[in-house]
Amino acid sequence: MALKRWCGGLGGAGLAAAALLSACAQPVPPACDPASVAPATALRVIVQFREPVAGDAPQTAQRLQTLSQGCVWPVSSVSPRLYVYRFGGVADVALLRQRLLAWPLVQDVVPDHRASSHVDR
Amino acid sequence: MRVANCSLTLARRALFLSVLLAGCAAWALPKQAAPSAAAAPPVGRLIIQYKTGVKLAGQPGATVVTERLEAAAQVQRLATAVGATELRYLKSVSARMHVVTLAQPVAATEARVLIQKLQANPAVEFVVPDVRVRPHLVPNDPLFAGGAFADQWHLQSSALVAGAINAATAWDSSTGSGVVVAVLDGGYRPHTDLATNLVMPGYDFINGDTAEGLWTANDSDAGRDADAQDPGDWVSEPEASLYDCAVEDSSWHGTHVAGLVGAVANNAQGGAGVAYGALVLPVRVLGRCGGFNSDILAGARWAAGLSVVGVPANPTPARVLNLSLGVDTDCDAASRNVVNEIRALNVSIVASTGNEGYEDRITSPANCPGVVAVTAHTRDGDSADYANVGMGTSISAPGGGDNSVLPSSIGEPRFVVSTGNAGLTTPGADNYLEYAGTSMAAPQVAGVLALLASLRPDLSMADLEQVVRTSARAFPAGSYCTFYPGVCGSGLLDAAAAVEAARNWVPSSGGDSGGGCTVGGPGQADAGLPLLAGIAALALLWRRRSVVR
Repeated sequence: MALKRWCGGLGGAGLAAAALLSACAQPVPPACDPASVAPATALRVIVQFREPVAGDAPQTAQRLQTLSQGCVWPVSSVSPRLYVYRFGGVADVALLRQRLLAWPLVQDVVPDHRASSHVDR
Repeated sequence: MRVANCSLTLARRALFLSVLLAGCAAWALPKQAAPSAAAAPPVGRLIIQYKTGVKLAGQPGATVVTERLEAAAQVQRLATAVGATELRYLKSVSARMHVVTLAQPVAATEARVLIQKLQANPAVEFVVPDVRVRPHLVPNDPLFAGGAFADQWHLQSSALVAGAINAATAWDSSTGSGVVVAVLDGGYRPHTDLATNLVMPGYDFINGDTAEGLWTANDSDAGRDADAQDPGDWVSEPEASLYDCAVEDSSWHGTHVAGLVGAVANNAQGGAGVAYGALVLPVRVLGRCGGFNSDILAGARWAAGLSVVGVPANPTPARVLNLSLGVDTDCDAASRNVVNEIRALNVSIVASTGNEGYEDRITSPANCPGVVAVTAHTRDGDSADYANVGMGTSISAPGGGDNSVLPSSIGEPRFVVSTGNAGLTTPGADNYLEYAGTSMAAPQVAGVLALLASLRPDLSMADLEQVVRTSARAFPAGSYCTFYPGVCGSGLLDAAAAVEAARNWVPSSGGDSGGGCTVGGPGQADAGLPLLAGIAALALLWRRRSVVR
């Protein structure tokens, strides 16, 4: 319960959230509330599934959260096989990818990079 | 490869290899255009001029009726004499010059035979086809006017401005009518020189994220919504440090790029878009500090006509997508997946290569197989110092800015002008802004593809992309791209040459050839210290100037 409260409250905690993120990185999967607010430091990734899934369904998020050993917040859908999530409590995308690929339905995990316009600055 | 394939005989392997190579060659090399005689339009009318002294229609005292009757009889006699009974008098241009019609249009080669027969008659001075003439469309937009000194130098004749795209000649054949070009960018302002060519309200794909709220979107809409208007993308100093991006005024980048594709022409205002007859579908994917790749991919899918969960179907799917944006990474699995989906719908994706000045690398999504990757050149046709080049680059288009080795044209417009807004933060009055960048180059290629798609709707977009590449002009002698052949793509974008090539293009029988083989060879930065390395490394400044009109 304590972990749940921590992770659920991270979003509103500003800079303090980053310091508390390590709590979500415990080896034992925390029970984060997907309806809570993701911290700005949470990794934003695109998960590619091998077949169409209900990517924002609670059971999908729960499975990803368990595998990630962190906290997950669904963000958006790109296509029936591509979904965007924020993951808290995971050090980097490589580690997250390694963990999520344990689910055969997951084909790939890539960072959701921020792109910019190509005006010469 | 599985073991079973290793049992291929040498002959079969050779055959397989030759087929593979032929496929690549067909993609990479210019296609043979159809012979010019076959390409010439059929002839349905002739102009016959009789010699002086021959009794003709239009003699003094003749009425209109008798004149026509006499001319008709005269033509009939001539036709009978040469055995061309299908000729019929149509009208007179002068007393000695008459227009005749054929029962039905004939091929140019057949017409030539008939003309020779008619000209053999001693009463005939000459006979020529009465060809259909189209106006040389020169829009009355003030930014277009001025030839070599025009603000819109990028659209002029290459005889006047070496780096220009010969748009006016192309407009005689096509303005992009009936084609939708999606601009995935920062949204739009309803600029008076653009609005009537926009498919409003477009769609806003910037998704609210609980981690940052609506900061990127900078609007009050909760996530994705049917309003692609640009509320401004300024970044204040505190926000810059919080979100790790630069302090900036609003750029109105989406409105600028949209205007380059489809600004309204012939309205005596501002400038003209490359495909001013086309429709521009604004898809908002960039906000403050750019935008997330996932929103760009979702927006691209929607623009092409694919469904996106929670978003209504796009009633006006585009045939061309323009992405003047990118991120300095490899093409990832998600991007490849979406590009493949879109290519399968016969939709072109045009993307800018980026402005880091790389000589051996271009950004994503331009580096994704199947994407038309556009680098930029200056008004004299030299590669712009900021423009990324390298493997996968398809073509170069005017992006403005400075260059190096060619004589500069001091005092002449150097930046690319298009529709903008005067607001430094929130929207202000319409204006015109000058920018430089590969962002400005890509929409010109997208525009030319729209011209071709309108002219030859029977051709696949892969064919039309090939037309654009192979019709490109050679890089100017002594320019950067001549020192490093292959890294800049096939050449300088040429709208007129592309239109001409499209006329005679024979459709390919194969499927999408958008990926796999590239016209541009591998980057050659390893071959030696590139001439412009020092210049490319210079700090690049934001260069924006308001045009006062």
